[in-house]
Amino acid sequence: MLRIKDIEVFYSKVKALEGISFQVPSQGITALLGANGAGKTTALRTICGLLRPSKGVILLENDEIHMLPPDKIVRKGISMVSEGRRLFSEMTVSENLEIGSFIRKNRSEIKDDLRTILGYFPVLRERSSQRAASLSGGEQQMLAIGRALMSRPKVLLLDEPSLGLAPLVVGEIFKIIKKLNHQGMTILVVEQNARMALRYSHEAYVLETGKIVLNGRPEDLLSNEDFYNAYLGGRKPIAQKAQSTI
Amino acid sequence: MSLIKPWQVCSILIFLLMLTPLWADSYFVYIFSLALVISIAAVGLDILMGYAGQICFGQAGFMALGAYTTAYLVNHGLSFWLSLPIGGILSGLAGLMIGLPALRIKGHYLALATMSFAYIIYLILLHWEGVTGGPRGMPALRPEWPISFTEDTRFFFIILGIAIAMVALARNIVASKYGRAFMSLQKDEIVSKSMGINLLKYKTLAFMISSFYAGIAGGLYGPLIGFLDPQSFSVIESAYFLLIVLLGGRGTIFGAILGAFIFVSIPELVRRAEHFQEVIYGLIFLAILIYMPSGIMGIFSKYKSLFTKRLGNGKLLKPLISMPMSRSEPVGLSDTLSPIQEKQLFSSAEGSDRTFLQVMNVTMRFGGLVALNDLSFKIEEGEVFSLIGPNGAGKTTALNVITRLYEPKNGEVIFRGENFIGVKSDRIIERGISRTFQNVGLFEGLTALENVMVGLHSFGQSGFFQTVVKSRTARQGEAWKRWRALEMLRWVNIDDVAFHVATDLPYGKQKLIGIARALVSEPRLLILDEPAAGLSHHEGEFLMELIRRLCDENGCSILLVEHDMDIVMGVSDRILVLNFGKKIAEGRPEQIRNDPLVVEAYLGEEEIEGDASD
Amino acid sequence: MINFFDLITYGIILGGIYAICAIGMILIFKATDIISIVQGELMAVGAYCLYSFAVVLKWPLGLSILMAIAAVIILCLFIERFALRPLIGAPLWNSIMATVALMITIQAVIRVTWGPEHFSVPPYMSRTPFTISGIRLTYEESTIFVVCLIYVLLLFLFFKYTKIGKAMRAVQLDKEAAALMGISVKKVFSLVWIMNGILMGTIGVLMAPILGVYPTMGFIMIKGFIVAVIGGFASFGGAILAGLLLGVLETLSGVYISTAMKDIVSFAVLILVLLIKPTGLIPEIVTKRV
Repeated sequence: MLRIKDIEVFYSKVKALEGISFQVPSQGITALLGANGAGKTTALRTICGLLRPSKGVILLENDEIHMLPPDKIVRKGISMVSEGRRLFSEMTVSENLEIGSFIRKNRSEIKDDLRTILGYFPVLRERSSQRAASLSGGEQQMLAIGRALMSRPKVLLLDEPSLGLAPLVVGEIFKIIKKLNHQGMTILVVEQNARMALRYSHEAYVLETGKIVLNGRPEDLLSNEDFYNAYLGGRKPIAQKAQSTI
Repeated sequence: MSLIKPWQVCSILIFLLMLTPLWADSYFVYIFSLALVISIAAVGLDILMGYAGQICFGQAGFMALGAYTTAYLVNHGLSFWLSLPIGGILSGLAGLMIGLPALRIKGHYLALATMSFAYIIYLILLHWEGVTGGPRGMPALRPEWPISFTEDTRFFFIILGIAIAMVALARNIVASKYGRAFMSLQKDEIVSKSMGINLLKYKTLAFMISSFYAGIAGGLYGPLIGFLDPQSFSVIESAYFLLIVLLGGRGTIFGAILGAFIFVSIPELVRRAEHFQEVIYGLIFLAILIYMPSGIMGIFSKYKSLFTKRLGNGKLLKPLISMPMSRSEPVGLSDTLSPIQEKQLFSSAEGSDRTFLQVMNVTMRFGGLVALNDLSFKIEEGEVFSLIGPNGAGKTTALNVITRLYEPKNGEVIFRGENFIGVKSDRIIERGISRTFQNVGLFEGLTALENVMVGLHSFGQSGFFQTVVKSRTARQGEAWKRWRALEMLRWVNIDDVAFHVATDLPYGKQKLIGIARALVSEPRLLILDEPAAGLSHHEGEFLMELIRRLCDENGCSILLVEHDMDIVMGVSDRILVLNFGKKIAEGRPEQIRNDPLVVEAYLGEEEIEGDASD
Repeated sequence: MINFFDLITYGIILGGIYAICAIGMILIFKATDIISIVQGELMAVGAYCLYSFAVVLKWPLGLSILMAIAAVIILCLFIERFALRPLIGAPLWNSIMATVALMITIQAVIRVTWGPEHFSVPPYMSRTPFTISGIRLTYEESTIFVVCLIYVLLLFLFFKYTKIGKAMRAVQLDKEAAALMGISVKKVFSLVWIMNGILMGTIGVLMAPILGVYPTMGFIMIKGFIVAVIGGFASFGGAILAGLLLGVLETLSGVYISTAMKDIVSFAVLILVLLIKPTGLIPEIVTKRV
């Protein structure tokens, strides 16, 4: 479905991504993992058009999309849930959802989708005329996902959906992600909470300083020593102070 | 690098100008006189806008203040030579008044606030008929003492002389720590504060200088024209000043002069209906903004800097005397000690209590969010202490609390026995704490060397007036700072780029400049905020070595915030792990690496509940 | 004999004009982060065009008004496309200077095209006052007030109920997020300037008979900026409230202190507000959310 080939991206003079290549298979859940600053968010932002790669190609079902602006990429069927949600805080829940359907024209289809989405997130129905800023973290995340779904995307990008959320809520969110995938949605998720992401994804790629260093199925990664090193460091320490503590 | 020295060019130009009355008729003398007067005001505005980056839409208003004050005093019998400076000082004070609110308002607001100020001046001039003569205007006379300067050529030389003096002073200002401090205002204020720059002081100073220059220019303008009327100082005229500074290239004193000369001569080149020229001005203005934002000087500096004013590019003097570190007495340090001597003194520390930095029960809230939750830790002297944790754990918040950018809700920070409550963020560097920033925060328009010199801002002995007249003390101080800064760049291995504009250099080098800048003040505690971010593997290794050298050879303690685990594990003596603002682990690297709580914080929890993936 | 309530009424109407000007500025600021310093010049162009169409070319009044407003709209599109859009990536400083440059240029163009003289435009309707419950009004004043009211209402409805209006609100709140919804931020920028053109063109047309038509007439609109600042530059409600306040304040000081002082008073208020509370005097709770 989505193919990223040899992408190189610069972000304020730093080479944030170098020679990145991976695939997001149709109807699968793919995870991008890695420590903070590894380039995961940069990768997502490049895919949805907020950043432009200096080299490389991104293909959506054989359509080249890497040079398109974000509003055109949405029309091609890719929808992004940004890191930190980025809701329209002063608008109500229903207004946020409505904006999500901006590119669509068929009123009755939009209504149907709205009903379906509120079915996934019943709590939003209760709060539909509340300001988005007044929702709890978990509710905001649900709203953000719901809003992204309103454009009937083929591919859903999720940037750190667990950020700032309590573990229980994170579990809820990922269950919903799983459900959406069952209904046919292709999903690419970026996560710092590696274990949670691995529990739900079919394949994962691990980034480190802008390059992909590992990839494979969750079971394989979890039993791989290098995987832990990417997060917790594995280089030999240089000569440190003498062990005698004061 | 054989440069044509700027002063050589200037001398030639001045010489040519002085010969003007010989080859030009009185109209040209008048045009040049006017251009010089406008140049003075433009140079002042360039200091404010080009260096300090503050928008001022009121230069004509300040000029009016000076013009009317001078003329009024002369008309009432006071000597021109007294009236002129008084006019300038009055304008300067008005600039102070406008500069004070500038601390809180920026950009558009400042532009319109200064525009309003100029408009109010205009209205006062228009309506206060008793004093200013209202719309009818007021005569302005040329000085008659010691000889009569009524004749055009004679007055031209007066203007020339004053202009030369003012420009020379301006050059001294910008080529000093004041100039560097002004340029730091353009960027992130947080970085400036951590270098010890008092924002209020420098912003108001910049305004005062600019309006003083405008006042002097006004005082000369009156007698040049012979007559003052409010229409010459309307808001549009202020707008034209912006154009003049921009045209020549802001941030280069010479550019302002160039702009003024071009602006005054355009009517001559475009000998058409008066109003067309305004259209041309406006269009030129727009074109410059879009296509040539650095003005004419910008084009020149692209081709081998022949005309640049380089700050701090002068002689490098290895000092014969060792300079005292600071004017104000830092806690625990004697004023007369040189840095090297002082370090040795400190090593033979009294007492066994070597707790260096103590953070006690600090809680920090942002609205409803608790960023730091009852955080306590100690840093010993001479160790590398790392603060790690997942995204949003509160690491940068903790740094900002220590450096007093944030005020904690509860808790205290004690450094070498001094409680930091009540200490302002721009006084931290004097106490021996210095830091780098995640986004580096180098000051634009300054070379690598100049950037590092800003690190020494709080140290040195010369006051404003000494600097302005380039006294011996001031010159020695500058030479010493230059030498120290270069030493520092050598220490981090990048002295080969000392004279390059810092923000043009590759990212890795920029980070090293940031470190040099933090080190140059010989801090006791160096805070490094994600120094490895964006560095190559090789550069990262160099960084690790650097950190250990600093600690082992120089006795500098290091507080490191970092995401790169290889580096953290490889270089730290002790590590503290933060998550959701709370301490979840503390200890030596091996302990931390194997601590299940830490692994969980980074990788997520082990699977416990049976949420079977269906 | 000047009645106090007449003054208040006049002040309210004047305030309405200021408020509309402020609303135009706020619209542009919220969407594009630029404060439009050219508001006055836009108004002047509207007034001058009206003069040319209605008085010089003697076109029917209705047509002249529409064409004058259209001219301002076209000018706004030009400004957005050719002066401001090229500066989108550059530091904000450049955009601020650009609006200053535009101010100079447009004023100069006006001077070149029409010359420096004052022109007058005859009033659209009779200026005989009538009385409603003790307050004296002219038809002209009430028309101005009603037009302002209608615009405010239309804007309110537009932003609350139309799809495009909501899209614009989205852009104002978070440009990046709006782009991710498929909203073309560039188109919104153009639209915002078109709306500003409509507002300023109308004001130019309305004020022409009252102020007369002269090159520096645009400067009045700096009051719009003062109003926007007092109102907090955030919402239309704040601008309206602040506008009414300033209009009344100005009228009263004009009469009770002196005509010279009325401008000084307004600017002094501005400087005070900037010094004490740059975020505006009107607390956010009171204002209408747009």
